[in-house]
Amino acid sequence: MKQVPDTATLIRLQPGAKQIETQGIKWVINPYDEFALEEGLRLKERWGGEVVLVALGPARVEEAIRQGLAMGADRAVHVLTNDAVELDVWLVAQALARVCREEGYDLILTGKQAVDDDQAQVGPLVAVALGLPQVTVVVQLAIDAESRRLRAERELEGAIEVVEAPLPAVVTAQRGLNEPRYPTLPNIMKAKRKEVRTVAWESLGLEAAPLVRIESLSLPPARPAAKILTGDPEEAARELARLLREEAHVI
Amino acid sequence: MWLTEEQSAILALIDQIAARYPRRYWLQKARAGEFPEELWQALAQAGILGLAIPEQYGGSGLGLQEMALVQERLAEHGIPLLLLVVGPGLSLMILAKHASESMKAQVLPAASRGERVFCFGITEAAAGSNTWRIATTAERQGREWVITGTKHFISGADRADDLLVVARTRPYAADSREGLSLFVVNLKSPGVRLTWEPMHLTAAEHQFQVTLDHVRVPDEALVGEEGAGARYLFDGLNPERINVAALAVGLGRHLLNRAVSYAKERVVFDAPIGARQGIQHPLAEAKIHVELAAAMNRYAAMAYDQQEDAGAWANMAKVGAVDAALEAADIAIQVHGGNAFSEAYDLLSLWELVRLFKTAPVARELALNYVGEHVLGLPKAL
Ligand SMILES: Cc1cc2nc3c(=O)[nH]c(=O)nc-3n(C[C@H](O)[C@H](O)[C@H](O)COP(=O)(O)OP(=O)(O)OC[C@H]3O[C@@H](n4cnc5c(N)ncnc54)[C@H](O)[C@@H]3O)c2cc1C
Repeated sequence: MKQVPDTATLIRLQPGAKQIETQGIKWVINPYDEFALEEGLRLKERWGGEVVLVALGPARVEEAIRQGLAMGADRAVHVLTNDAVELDVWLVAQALARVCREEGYDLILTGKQAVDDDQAQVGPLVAVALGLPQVTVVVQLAIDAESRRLRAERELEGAIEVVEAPLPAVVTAQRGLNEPRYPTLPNIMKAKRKEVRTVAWESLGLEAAPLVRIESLSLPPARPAAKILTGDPEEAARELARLLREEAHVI
Repeated sequence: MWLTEEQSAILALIDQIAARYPRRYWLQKARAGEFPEELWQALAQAGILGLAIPEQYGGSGLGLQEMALVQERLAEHGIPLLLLVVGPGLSLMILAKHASESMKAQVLPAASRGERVFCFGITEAAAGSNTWRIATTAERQGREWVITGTKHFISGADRADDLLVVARTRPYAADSREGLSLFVVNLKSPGVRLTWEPMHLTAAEHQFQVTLDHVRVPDEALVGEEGAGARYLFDGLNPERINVAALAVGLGRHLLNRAVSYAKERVVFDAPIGARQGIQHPLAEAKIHVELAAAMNRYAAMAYDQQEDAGAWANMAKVGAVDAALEAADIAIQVHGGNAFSEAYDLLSLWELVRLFKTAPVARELALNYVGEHVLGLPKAL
């Protein structure tokens, strides 16, 4: 589970611009990860077992972890990073995979992508690191505990693909998989007492050698001001048609 | 920040619920005269209705501070609920403290889950501010009480399952503060009749005249001791004032947010009106007054939670918050120019509700009387 800036937050860049300005940002759980967590909770309600939340990031991520615990996860592992470490998706995936291996798993659920940097790689790379089958962009999931197989519907452009895979596996969640529950007040109270195991990034012994580095970061060019046509509706419509043809080149 | 981890989590939860049931939803329901049932159910499922009910009765055992935060935040999103005030914020507060053990065990767990919803009935046509003059009576007959009288302006009586009602068990005597008693009355009981009272108010709840015609309730429906109701009432009416102050603070913020975004956008005489001191200063003043009231109200809630006498703070916060919210409403209306009066902008509907709070649940003058007499030590006001 990743903590990301709320999509309504106004993003500003740090001077030097390899990172965004994190001051004043409203942080939320990555929405696709909420689908993943919800699916995990439903599977647990159906089959029993335990939902362990794994998150990676600086101390602020604890807030998202508590929210996830308040939704009903049993406990959590927080891989605590500091700003000095330069991470890429492969490093992140290796760290998460290592925690998964320590914890044990029947099924690993992630969001299909994080809405901040849109790489859509962490789930698949965790599967690679653990040598597991992966099913991505899943909109429906069924587990057969006896045969230890999963059956999933994947959303493709204009089609639904149905696949099967043996467990354990990695599944990445797409919007539509379910409707995540709210945390409840009793669970918020209980979340305080649930275990969050902190694992220092350094203790994982991963070589801090990212394969991909951010070179620079810039904001998209400002949009030109909107034109508002006023006056006689007939003339305004004529002017609109002219602008659409001559300036916007869309008709 | 001064918020506990739980309090932040509760606010985040309310934000999530409000994102699913925003002002648009609430307004559509209110205008159609329907109760925002989905919003209410979401609050029930999230455990918000049982927030202040002790854990042993299925609640979360939190206090008025948390409840006020919930009210504040709901109102800030423009989705205030009067039933949340008169039920969890008033009636249930009294029951949790003073009801018989059997009544608590019977009612509170269901109320925590939202399966038993309470409204509250004290006002009568001839006795509003002056509760001592109520004419509803309860008479003991064997192991039952027989209640007769007519309550007035009872919010949410159509949606509620039960009414916490104030009745006389002894005749009025000018020199006595005894004689009022509280009862839990199931609204499905024989002899209960509701008559809708149409109001000029955009709200989630309707008001009703509730007629009780020889309604029989069992002995355990009596809350605490016979005749001692006035004492118990203040364990509910102070929270009600704090809840209403919280709603006013939230509505004030909502109105100011709306006013500020409009003032930034609206260009008149070649400048956004928000750049003009004549607009900016009243907005800043209203903001200051709203936040001052919020701080005082927090103080009031804290006093209540720490079992101190919260009357002084609760009355002061209620007056302060409602005055501030009215100030915010007025400048928000002014900033919006003629648009403020168009239905599409939905501003006067907010003013109506804020203005209600100057009169109900307690008139401004009565709260000031309390401050004059009990805080300042002046003679009882005439
Ligand atoms: C929308 C709405 C919802 C309501 N919901 C409920 C509910 O759920 N349950 C319930 O029991 N009641 C409810 N009420 C009733 C409400 O609590 C009363 O209307 C309120 O307490 C005022 O009582 P009143 O209307 O009888 O006014 P009155 O007591 O007649 O007072 C009229 C005015 O006289 C002035 N006044 C009165 N006494 C004094 C004084 N001593 N000194 C100076 N000025 C004074 C005040 O300005 C006051 O506004 C509701 C009312 C409304 C409008």
